[in-house]
Amino acid sequence: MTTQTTSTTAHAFVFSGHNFGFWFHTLPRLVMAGLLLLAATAPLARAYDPLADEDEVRSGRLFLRDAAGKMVGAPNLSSKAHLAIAGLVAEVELEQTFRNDGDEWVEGIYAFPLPDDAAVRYLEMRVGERRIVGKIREREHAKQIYQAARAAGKKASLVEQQRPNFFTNRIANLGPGESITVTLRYVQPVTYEGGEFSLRLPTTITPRYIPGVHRASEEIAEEQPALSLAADPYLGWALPTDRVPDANAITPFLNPQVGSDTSPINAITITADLNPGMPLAEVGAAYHELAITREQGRYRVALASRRSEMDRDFVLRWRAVASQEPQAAYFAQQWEGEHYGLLMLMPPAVEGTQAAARLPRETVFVVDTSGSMGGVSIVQARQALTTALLTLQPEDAFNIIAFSDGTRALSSQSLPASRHNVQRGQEFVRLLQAGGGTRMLPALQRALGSDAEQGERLRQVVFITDGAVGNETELFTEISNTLGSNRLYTVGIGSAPNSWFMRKAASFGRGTFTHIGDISEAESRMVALFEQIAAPVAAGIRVQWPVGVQAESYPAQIPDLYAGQPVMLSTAFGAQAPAGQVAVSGRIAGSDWSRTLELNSGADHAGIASVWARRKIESLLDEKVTGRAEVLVRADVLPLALSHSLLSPYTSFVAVEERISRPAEADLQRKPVTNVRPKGQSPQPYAYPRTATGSPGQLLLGALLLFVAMMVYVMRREEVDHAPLAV
Amino acid sequence: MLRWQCDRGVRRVALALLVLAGGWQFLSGAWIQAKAVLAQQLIAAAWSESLAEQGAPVKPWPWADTFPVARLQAPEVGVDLMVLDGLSGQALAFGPGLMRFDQAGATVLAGHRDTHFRFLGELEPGSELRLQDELGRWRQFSVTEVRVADSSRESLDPSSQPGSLLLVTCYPFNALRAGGDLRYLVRANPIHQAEYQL
Repeated sequence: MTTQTTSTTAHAFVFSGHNFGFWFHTLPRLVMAGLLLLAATAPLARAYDPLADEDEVRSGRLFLRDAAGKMVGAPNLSSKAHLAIAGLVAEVELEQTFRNDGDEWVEGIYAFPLPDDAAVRYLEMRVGERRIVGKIREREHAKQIYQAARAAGKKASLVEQQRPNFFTNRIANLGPGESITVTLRYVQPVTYEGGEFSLRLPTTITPRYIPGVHRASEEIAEEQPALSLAADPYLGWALPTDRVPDANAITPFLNPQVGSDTSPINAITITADLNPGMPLAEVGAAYHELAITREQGRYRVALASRRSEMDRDFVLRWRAVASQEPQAAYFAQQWEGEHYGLLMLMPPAVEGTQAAARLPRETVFVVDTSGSMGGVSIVQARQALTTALLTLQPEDAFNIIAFSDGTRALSSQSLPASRHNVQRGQEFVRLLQAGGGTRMLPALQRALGSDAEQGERLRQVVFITDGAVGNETELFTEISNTLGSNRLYTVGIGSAPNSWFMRKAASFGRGTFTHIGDISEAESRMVALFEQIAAPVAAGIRVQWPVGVQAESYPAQIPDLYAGQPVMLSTAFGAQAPAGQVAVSGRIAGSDWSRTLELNSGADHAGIASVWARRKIESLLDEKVTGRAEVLVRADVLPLALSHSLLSPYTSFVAVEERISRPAEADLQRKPVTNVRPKGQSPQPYAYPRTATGSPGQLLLGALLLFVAMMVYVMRREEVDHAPLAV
Repeated sequence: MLRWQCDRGVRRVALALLVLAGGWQFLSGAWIQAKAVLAQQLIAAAWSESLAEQGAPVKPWPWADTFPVARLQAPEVGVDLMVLDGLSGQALAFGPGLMRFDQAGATVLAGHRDTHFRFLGELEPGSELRLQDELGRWRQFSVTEVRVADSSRESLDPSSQPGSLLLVTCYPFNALRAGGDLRYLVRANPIHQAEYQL
């Protein structure tokens, strides 16, 4: 019995072994066949190699496809800037040369930055040996002149102002192999603060964030929907929105390549002729290497490498010898029978900030962590914040608000600056990462408005950003409306910050602005900012002109001045030359002060009239922020800009060559001239999304399991067949 | 035989387990595919409603956490898709998503390689794409670049070619499991017409 059982078991084993062996080999084969079938449904070898075109796409110029599908390049740009600085005014000549290396007729569209207080007053177009002087015209009128010239095949250039520091140059009918040079001349007051003179020349534009909802304004959109994008005259990448109606004009293309000084994409040559009018202790550029020669108190400055990439602001700085720092200066100009003046006067410095007088304060740091801050900017912002947190005293309170798409704060309420809380703040700062949009408004509202438990503390908001937004005016209005007794200080970060935003936001916020363009500056600039904030303010400043002098001055209301800031006043006197002494008075640290200055109209100083007109235009445009209707502002600005021949939001320069150069049968292609990515700005760091479901795997696994189940079922039937044999 | 008697019970249980597990896997896989197709119908209805209301967000079903923001067509391969707001997993299950970021850049759409964006593999340079915004305006694009990126080594760079359209999906298309590092990128530039108004 035992043996039989054993043998039967053995038999059964052999039988089932054979059976399992069969399935053991067959099942994988079947599965394999199924897999192959699945795989065969997909193209095994892709006909197109995705990596083949990479070199072409990555080469230096921006390629766009024309109608025929052929790649054509945008015009090549090179620039040349010469700064002639005399005293407190700089006259700058900026040459933009556009060369068409392609074999099509093109219209180049170039968006470019200029200093935010530049008075652009001259345009000249050079075609070969011919020079055409541009004319200032009302904006719409200028556009029509340009359009007509473009349609007729004449070479033309149109320069429009989109923002006080943002302009568009359009060059029509640039033939194959041809070059056009557009020369702009502008006047700009020199910045003098804390004993340091500086002049800034921006060269590229940090891409702006455009908030709002896309707008259906163009009737073209209804007629020919597919053409609505093509109707954009500026080739911007953004569509107009309800909050930024000119979004397409302020969103130029960035070159995908990273710039380099050795082989620049957009090269610029910068030279300067500096006549400071006093012995200097130092001259230098913040972000460039210079070659400087000196002769008879004048300095000739050039880039050490002669040319550089247009990927960062050029900042020239100089300082007088310690004892010779100017305390007051007056420059005059007679222009078209009218007299103009520029007055600079330093309020008295208060010796040593009295530690006893230091009031406890509440500091709210607002830091921009949007995508445009990626790269060196966020590192600079972190360093600036780290330094700032160390300046806090235990009796102060502070908070940190970080914003991008959303707003995130260290704490819901301001925290006492205890060692523990500052430590928490440092940790918060250390973990800041850049990414996302620049939704600045909610952050500003939160910092200025909401939790304002106005106590005995001074409340100050330190706003650290690159200002890369398109809705500046909306933000100025918000600041102006909600400021209350707060003070807003802006800290501009990065290689190409929006300086106009920094300066005006600080001005509406009754604070100061600081630029940090390099990590090495972050600490010293922040320390200087906090010293400036802590020092007494010169308030209630009044200007008393000599009796009988008619004076129209800008700024009309002199703001409170922080330590190191001078009174800077642009004045128009009318036909009568002013004479006598002007008295400036005010209060500082609880005591009155007064200073006088002789209005000696010495040598005629170029550019003073333009500076005055530019200041007046700025002051008129500011009224828009405080609620004056745009039509009224325009009515005031337009005649002023036309008579002083200045670019403004309502006036443009246009130059047209009389000769027709483009043959009627040749097509005109529009090409954007790209800007270079600001130095050190990272390509926006966004993680790729997860874009696969597990569904094919699940389907296959499910099918496999069902298949196995089917096989098992089949086997069960076999087992029934074989059962008698087993018994 | 005793052994077979035993085996029959085990086998029955195993069979039931196999059918259950297999059926579960198969159905959940199929459900993903079905959702992807069916939801598009509901979203299409929401999209036309949204267009009728000048781009106001309309949820395709009351508890949806996303809404359609654009419509994408690839005429050559017969694809017509409703694009949803955001890239959350919930949104991508129902349609390709529009990536929201600092607007300094390209329009980035991402979709699942095994559902809506399977067709990306069929696009070649020169292929035509059309995108409709919430105001009903169509923009035309032409594919200029197709490449594979390793997401573990490079991040998405929408700022490099502002104005262009970037479609992103996972790669390779026939991988069975989700969560790989490779991404398939299709870039298309807008076609500017020669004739235009200032």
